[in-house]
Amino acid sequence: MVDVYHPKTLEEALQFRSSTGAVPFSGGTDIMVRYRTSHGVLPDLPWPIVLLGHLKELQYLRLRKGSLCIGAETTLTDVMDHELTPPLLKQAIGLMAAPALRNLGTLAGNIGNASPAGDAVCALIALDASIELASPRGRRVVSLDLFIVGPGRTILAEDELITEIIVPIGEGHISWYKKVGTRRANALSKLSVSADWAVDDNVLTHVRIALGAVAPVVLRCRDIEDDMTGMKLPEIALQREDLMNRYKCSITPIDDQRSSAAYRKQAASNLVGAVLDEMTGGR
Amino acid sequence: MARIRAYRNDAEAKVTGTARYADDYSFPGMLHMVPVYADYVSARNLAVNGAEALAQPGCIAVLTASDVPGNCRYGQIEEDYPILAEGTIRSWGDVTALVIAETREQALQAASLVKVTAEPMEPVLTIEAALDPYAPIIPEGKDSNIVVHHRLRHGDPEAVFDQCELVIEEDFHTQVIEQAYMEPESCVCVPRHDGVLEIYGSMQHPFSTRRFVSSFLDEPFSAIEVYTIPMGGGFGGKDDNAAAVCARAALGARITGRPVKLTYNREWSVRETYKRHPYRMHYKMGFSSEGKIEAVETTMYADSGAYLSVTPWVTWRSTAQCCGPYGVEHVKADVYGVATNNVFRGAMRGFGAPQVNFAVEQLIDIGAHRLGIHPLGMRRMNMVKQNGETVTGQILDKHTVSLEEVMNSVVHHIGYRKKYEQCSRGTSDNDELYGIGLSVSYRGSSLGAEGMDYCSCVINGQHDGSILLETGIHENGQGSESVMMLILAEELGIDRKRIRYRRSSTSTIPDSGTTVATRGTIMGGSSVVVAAQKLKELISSHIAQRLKCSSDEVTFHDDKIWGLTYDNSLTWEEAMKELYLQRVAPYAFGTYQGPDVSWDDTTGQGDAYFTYVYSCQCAEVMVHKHTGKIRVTNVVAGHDVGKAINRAMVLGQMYGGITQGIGMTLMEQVQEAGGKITNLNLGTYRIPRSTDIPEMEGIIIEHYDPLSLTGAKGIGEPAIELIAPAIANAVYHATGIRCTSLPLKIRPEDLS
Repeated sequence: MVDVYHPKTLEEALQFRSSTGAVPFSGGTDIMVRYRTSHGVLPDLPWPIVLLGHLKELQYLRLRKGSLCIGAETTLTDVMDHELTPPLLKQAIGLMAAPALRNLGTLAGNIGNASPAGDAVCALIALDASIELASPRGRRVVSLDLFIVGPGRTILAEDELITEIIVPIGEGHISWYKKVGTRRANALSKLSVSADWAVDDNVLTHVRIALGAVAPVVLRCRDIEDDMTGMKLPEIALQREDLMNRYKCSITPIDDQRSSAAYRKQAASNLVGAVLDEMTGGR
Repeated sequence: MARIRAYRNDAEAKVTGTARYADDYSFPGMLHMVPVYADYVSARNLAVNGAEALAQPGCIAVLTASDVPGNCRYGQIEEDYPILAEGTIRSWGDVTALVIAETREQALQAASLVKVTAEPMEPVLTIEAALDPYAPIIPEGKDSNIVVHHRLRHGDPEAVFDQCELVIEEDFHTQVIEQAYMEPESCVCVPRHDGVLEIYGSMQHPFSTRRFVSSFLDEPFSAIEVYTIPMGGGFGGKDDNAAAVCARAALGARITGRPVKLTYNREWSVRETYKRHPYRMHYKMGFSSEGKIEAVETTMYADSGAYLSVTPWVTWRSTAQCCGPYGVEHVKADVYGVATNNVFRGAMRGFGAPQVNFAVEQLIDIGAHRLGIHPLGMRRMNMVKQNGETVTGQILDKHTVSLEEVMNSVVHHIGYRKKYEQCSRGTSDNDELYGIGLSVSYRGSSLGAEGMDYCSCVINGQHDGSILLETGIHENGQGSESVMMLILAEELGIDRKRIRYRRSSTSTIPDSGTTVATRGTIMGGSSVVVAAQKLKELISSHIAQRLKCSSDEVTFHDDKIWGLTYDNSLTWEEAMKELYLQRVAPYAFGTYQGPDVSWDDTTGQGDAYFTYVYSCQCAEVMVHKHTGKIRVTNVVAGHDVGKAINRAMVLGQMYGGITQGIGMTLMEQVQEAGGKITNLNLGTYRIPRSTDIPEMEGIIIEHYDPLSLTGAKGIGEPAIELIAPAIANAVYHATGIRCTSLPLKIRPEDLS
C-alpha cells in the first residue's frame, strides 16, 4: 500500500510535499513503468506520492519578459502543439515516446527524472532554459544545466517542486535537432544532439550544442562553445574536423543495452559535424 | 495501396475490442496461479521450500514436481522439457514451482517467498563451448551436445571446386529472436461437473496442448477438452510453452477442484518461452565464369538451447533448402543442432529458412559482384525451373515453377534495373546513401517429410438451411476460420452468411496436426473441399428426385441447388427441410492427406515437399552517413500463393511478414548475459512500430496448384523468410559494406 496525495492547489501540494516528503508524480510515465509489478496488479511504489498532473495552475504557456514560461505540469503534447514553443523543443518532443505517453508526460517529469537520455532536457539545455522551484520557504530560479547533477539526481530539495520552465526566446536563432534511436518512435535515445545558434554578419554570435545520452548528464562543452563564439563562419568551416575531434575527445559515453560507447562517440562527433555544416553551409 | 474487400468473421469483435482472449475469461471460484523461477542457468539438487509462501494470506497451494501425477517432462519430439523442473535446472527459464492463491496479488506475494535452492553448475552458453570435447553434456542420457545432424549429399562438390572460376567462402551469423506475439501466454482451466477439464488457452496447437496435459496429469485425452478461443498471435511460438502453461493450470484445477487461471506477463513469457534459433553458418560456393553455381559446401550449427523442442525439424528445413531456390549439381551440407544452457529454441515463423536465405541470397550477390555479372542474370541462370531438379533430387514437375515470373514482376514493378544503377555504393552528395537489393526464395509448403500431414473438416448442415463448419486448423489470429468459410461458400455455391464457424475443441474434431508450416490454408482448405464434396453427394442423392434429374446432374450455385432446368431448383431452406423429412442428417466429414513426400536421412535426398511457394522481395534503403542508421523506404514483394482465397488477408500476411522481418534485420535481438535474458519486455526488446514500416506493395501471383484441392498454397512464412538478405543486399549497394551478421549494423566510421 502506498499513500497518494491529491492536492487541489499548488499550495496544498507544497504542504503535502514538505510535510511527508512525498515524491512528485508528474504524469508518471517513468515511475509507473519502473515500479511495475505484474500484469493486472498495481505498481509497487516504495514511497508516498503527490499527484501534480491535474493542477491547472501549473499548465500554461505564456510570454514574460522575452522568455517563454511553461507551467511545469503542461503535458508534452500541449507544449509541442503550442505556437510559442521554439522549434527545437517541438522537434525534440515530437520524437519522444508515442502520442499516448506524450498526452500524460510533462516537462517537469522529464526534468525531474533526470535521465541523461531525456530528450526534452537536451533541447531545453541547448535553449539555455532555467526552472523555477517552489517550496513553503519561497521560490528560486536555477539554470536547468545546474539542476541536474547525475543520472536520476537533481538539486531539488525535499520540500520543493518544479513549478515553471523558463525558455529565453532567442530572436533570429537557428536550431538543429537529431535523435538516434533503435526505431523511429517510442525508443529511448542512443544519443541526441540539440543545437541553437545565432549569426550576425557572418560571425557566430551565440552557440549552444547539447549532447544527450553520451554522459551522466546532458553535456555541453562550454570551452568549445566559447572558442567558437565570435568566429567567422568560414573559419569554423576550416576548423570543422578539429572541432569535431574536440567534441569526440570531450565525451565519455558508456556501453548499455541501447548502444555502445564506441558508436555513441563516433555518431555524436559526426552529428556535431552535421551541425557545423548546417551552420556554415558547408558540405 | 488499393482498397480490397476483406472478409473476417471476427472483424467487428477485433476492431471494437470485444473479442474475448484467455485472460478475459473468469469463472466463479476461480483461483490464480503464478510460476516460480530460480535464478540458476544450470544447477542440480534442486530443492523447493514453499512453507513460508503457503502461510501467506490467500495462498492455497505451492505445487512442485512431486505433486505431478504424470510425467513432469514432455516434448513434441523428445520428452525432455520440464513442465515443472525436477532435480535439475537446465536453463534460466525453467519453472520450479507453481503458487495458487485466491487473487493474483496474493499469488505473486506468496511466490516471492518460495525458497528455491540448488547446486549451481558451470553453464554451457555458446555453440563453440558446447562442441568442446570436454564440455558437460547437457541432454540427459546422451553422449554429445549435438542433438541432431542432418546430411545432404548431392554430387561431389569437392571435386568441382578446383575447376571453378570463383570460389567464395563466407561465415554468416544470425541472432536469437523472440516471436513477440501481442498476447502473452494465458490459460484458464475449469473442472467440469463430469470430471472433464475444460481448457481455454492462448496456444496454437490444441492437440499438442492436450497431449501435454494428458501426459502431465496421466489422464486420457477424453478427460481433457481444449477450446479454441480468440488468440493474439503465435508466429510459431505458442506450442510447447503455451501447452505447458495450460498443463500447469490444469494441474492446479485438478488438485484444487476449482477453476485456475495462469496468465503470463511479458517478462515471464520472454524469459521462459522458446526463441528463433541463432545460426552459425559456413558456406563455400563455387561459380563458373558465366556465373553458374557449380558447387556448394556448407556446415551450419543451430543453438538449440536447453531442450530439443522442434530443433530436428527446423534444421531439417535448413538442410532441404540449404541452397536457396537454386538447382546446384554438387552439394554437401551438414547441419547440426547443438544443446546449450540457453533458454531453448523452437518454432518461429520461417522455421530454419530465414537464416539460410540470409546467407545464400547474399552469396549470390557477392558472386555476381565479383564476376561482374548482373545479380538478376545470376539468379535467372541458377534458379529452379519447370521440371528442374532441386538439391534434394526432387523433380519439380507437379506444379508450376514460377520463380522467374515472380522475380520478373517484382523487378519490373519496383524498377530494379534502373534503381540498381543509381545506388550510392559508398558515395553520395548528401547525408544519405541509397541502395536497392533483392532476394528470391522457394519454400516447401506444409510439413514436408518432417511429419505426418493430414487434416479433418466437419460440415454440419442444419435443417433451416444454415451451416456449421469446423476444421482441425486453429485460429491464431491469422484469419483461418474466415478462409475456411470462404472456401466452403465457394464449394457449395452459397452465400457465406449461411455459414458459421463453430467454436471447435479437441473433443469435437480429430487431431489434424498443428497450425504451423504455412499449412492452414493448403491442408485445412483441402479438407473443406473433401467434406463439401461429400455433402453435395449426400444432398444430391436425396433431392435429385424432387429436382427431376439424376443425382450426378444436381448442381450447386447462386445460393441454390439446381436440377437441369431453371424451373427445377430448391433453396437451401427447402432442400434441408426435405432432408429432414427423409430423416437424413446433412452432415459430412472430410479428411485430406498430404500427397506423398520422401526423404533419405543418410543422403538428404528425396521429394522434400509436395509443392513450393515461389517468392521475391525487393527493398530500397537509405543509410545515414553520420549515424549509420539504416532506413527501409520501400519494399515490393511477389509471392506465388497458388490461389488467393482472401486477398486482403494475403496482402496482410505479406506486409506483416515484411515488417516482422525488418525487425529481425535491423533491430531485434534477445540479449543473453550468462544465459539470462536481459531485455525481457518490449520496452527493451524493440520490435518495429508503425513509424518504422516502409512503403510496401504486395504482388499476388496465382498458379493454381494441382496438389492442393483449392489450388492455394500459402503465404504466412514465405512473407518473412527473404526480407533480411534483400535489405542486406540493398545496404551493400548503398554503402559498399557487406554485413554477414544479424541484426545489420553499419558503423559510421566505416562510411566516408
